[in-house]
Amino acid sequence: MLICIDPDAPLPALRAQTGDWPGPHCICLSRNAAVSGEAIDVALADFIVFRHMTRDVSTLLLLRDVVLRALTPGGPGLSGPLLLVRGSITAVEFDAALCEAQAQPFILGAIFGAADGVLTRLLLGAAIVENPLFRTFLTNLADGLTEGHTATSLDLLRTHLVPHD
Amino acid sequence: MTELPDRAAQLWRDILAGNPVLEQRPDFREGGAPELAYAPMRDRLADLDARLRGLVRHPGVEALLDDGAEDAAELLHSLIALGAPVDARVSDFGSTHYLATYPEVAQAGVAPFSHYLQHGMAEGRITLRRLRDGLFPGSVPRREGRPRCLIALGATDESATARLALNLVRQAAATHDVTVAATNASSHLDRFREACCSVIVTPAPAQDFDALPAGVLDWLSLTLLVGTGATPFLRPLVDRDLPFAVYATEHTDEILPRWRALFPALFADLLVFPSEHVRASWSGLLADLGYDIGHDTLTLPPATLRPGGVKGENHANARRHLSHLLGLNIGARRLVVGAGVAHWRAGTDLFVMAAQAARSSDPDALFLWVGDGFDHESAAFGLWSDRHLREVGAGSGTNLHILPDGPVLADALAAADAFFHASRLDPLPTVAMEAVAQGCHVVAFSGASALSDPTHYGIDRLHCVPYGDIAAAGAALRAVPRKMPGDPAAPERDIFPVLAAALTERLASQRYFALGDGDFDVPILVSNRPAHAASRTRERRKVWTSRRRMVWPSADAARAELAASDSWVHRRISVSPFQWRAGDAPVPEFSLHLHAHHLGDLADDLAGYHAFRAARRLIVTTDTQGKAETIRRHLDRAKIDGEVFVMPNRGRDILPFLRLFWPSEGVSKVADDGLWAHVHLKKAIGTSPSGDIWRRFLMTILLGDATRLSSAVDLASQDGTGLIGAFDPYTSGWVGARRLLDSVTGLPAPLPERPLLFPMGNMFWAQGSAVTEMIRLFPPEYPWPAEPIGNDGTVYHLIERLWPSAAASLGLRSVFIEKRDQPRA
Repeated sequence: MLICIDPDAPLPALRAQTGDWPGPHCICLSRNAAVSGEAIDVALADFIVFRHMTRDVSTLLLLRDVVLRALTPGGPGLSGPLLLVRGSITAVEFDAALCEAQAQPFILGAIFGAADGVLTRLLLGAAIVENPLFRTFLTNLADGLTEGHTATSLDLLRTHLVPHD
Repeated sequence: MTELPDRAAQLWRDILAGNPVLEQRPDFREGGAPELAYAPMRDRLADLDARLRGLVRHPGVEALLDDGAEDAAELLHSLIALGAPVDARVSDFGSTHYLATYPEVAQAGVAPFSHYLQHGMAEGRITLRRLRDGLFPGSVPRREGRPRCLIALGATDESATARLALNLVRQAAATHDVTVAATNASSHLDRFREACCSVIVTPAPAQDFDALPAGVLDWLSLTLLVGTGATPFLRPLVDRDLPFAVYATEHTDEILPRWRALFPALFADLLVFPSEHVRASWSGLLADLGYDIGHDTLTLPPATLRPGGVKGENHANARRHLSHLLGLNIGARRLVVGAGVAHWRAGTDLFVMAAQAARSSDPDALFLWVGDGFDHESAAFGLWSDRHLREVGAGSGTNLHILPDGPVLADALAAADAFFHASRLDPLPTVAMEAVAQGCHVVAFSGASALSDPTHYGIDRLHCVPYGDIAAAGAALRAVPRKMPGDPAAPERDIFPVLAAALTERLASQRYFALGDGDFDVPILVSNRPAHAASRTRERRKVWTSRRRMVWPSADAARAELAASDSWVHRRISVSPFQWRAGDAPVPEFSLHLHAHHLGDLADDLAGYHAFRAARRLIVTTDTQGKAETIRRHLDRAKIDGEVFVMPNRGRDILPFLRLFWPSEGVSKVADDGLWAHVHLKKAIGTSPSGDIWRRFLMTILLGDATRLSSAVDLASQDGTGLIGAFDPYTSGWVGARRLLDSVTGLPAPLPERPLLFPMGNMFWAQGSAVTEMIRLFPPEYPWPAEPIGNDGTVYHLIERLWPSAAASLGLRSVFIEKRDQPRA
């Protein structure tokens, strides 16, 4: 699954750049995203669009809500590695992520914004995403988790779903 | 301690096996909540044991009671007192169901079982017995691996909607295990039971669905609501995220109250219409909701015009039978048949008048109406039709006859040359379609039913005449040829598979999903109680996922929609956050108009809003001298200067306000360019506590409170501002006022498809120039409707929505103030 949160790039370019990622391609618009209805209509041709209505939701909770909704009847479903991108991603970064995901089914990689500490990139290998405990992990995330809780939460995910040699 | 009776003790252990209560309380005669203890309750209620006997459901406990075992009643009482889920297992009392049905009991914090025993039973309050009595097995066994389908309707009666639902049940049963749910049963319940696996009858699905036996609603692959009588089933379906289609079998003209059309449309995943004619009546509502017509609706006629015929022998037999029933020899006379429950709607009176006219123009013709409803004591219709029939003559010796509904209808259609569909409005003209299948020509009024749908153009047996034109109908009937023998029509096709496939495809195509919750926790179907917060989130989320309009997710969403609009009105609307006015800044001069039809809250208003004292001029209008005197006394007590005027009771609060600006009124001259606040004490019939909350919402945002003013007065006094309103979390379209839009002339450009924002509740600040502009659009000589008026769709409802347009017409902006922490509902 590919989740682009408030993408910067024009949608045709985004589609062309990320077309190879396996699974459903999703755009998640946060509460503050100023996107017109017409723009959403355009996006729907190539992406599944999630619109989050809650004010000031952390990236991890956006991920939670997108994935759990995708897993409900009528949702697009979830399989394969998961790439979450907030804002933008270069072609080189995308290709690198795709290679890593294909090579390492248990990969868990995160990048945080230097200025604000917001999670801007998350890569989860297929073995993590398709583990039933991943859904449990997301379900148990409490409402009100802030960006400051993300690193700790991901550490928990790593502890429980990534084998330790 | 005495030894426990063995059977009672054993039952206690058996029923509570695995329940932690058993460890804490091995003896049902000890422990437990004191307020629910058996002995004190028996002291209060001498007939407690009899009351308990009436509730028992567990066969073991019932046997114990039947045997007269000493502690049987105490055992039952103790079990029920444990609450859910034990209570519902052993009795017809379920505390969870009781509290869901009676929220005031929950709010009072009293033990539900205690309340029921001491009060509820005497008051006739509902228990699980009502639901359980409404569960009926069907004749069709459930089959392993079969998909399950729920079909819900209002009443299982003889209505066209119920007949349609029954046909759908029969069709669905070919491929699905069908459960039928209805709000009330009638004598035709058995027909539904014969066709399905089970029937649930409940007038309160929202309360009862949680108490259904486990598994009843599991694994539903398809849910269909037939007719707006099924609206009560919306809430439990939405609350469980169960998708569904709604088959809208009525024109919106006839659906009252309005929410019975609004909510099915708002929440349906697929909205199905029986004809383009019905769909057209819903178009305004769908436009208000922002419907994706192509994606979310389907026109699927339940029946089609299938020209057919009747074998000669059958035709002759039918005519002979009718001759016998009517006591005359029909012979070769032209036979014109009409049918339906006698009513203005069915045009029974028009049929009779056509028969009257035919006495001179077509003396050979015989007119026969088949239907019930001729109740000569009913002022709804029967009294008038009885008088009419007596005056013009019907029955023996005349050309007009009436037979009651029943099997004779089949003979009538087989025998008839023509069917006169005199209906004024008919969403399901199935009898007329059956008449065509039986070889009849059909004469109908254009625009009255699906017979006018374009798909029927060119069918030579269908003759549409101008609406209500009896003369034209008579001419068309005279021109109808005699029926010739013919072959039966092709069988009607099943529509259920088409509907099921359409719903499946609709759900599979969903690619937009709303998540989280917005800024405003306001109810739609669900109550505003804290316990229902999650349900309210689900219902809003469903609306937003369908991208329809009911509640703004946020003021930002409204701003975005205004910015995206190219309407000349919307370009001059903005949303601002609420602020309290700084106490020391000079207050702009303003006048305040209060229309006081009801005076109950007047004293509270005068004390509760500083604006009444801060106004340069306060005018209070009312409709009687007695009220005016009462108002003056209130003003004196509050030591507030104000002028009180009596106005005719016409136009609710709107016309009294506009009249202040009419030169002819004789009121001291009103400055056209002054700033005015307009509020009112009008209370609609049946105002609930939520109505009071809404009023406080508006008054606080617009005026402030007892000591402070809202900054609305400053915004309103700014250059370029014409109107200030409260930003309402609920959206509203033109609604019933849409029917009057074409009559509005004098605006610089067409009105937008949706108003988006307007002062809902008709309380606002306005520059006098904006009021004068409204008067230009609706001058004093306008034909103002008098009371009683409808709840929607009048010129007053239109004016409420046109205030931003009036301001924009002068190049003035309208500002709506958002106060997120002010409860709205």
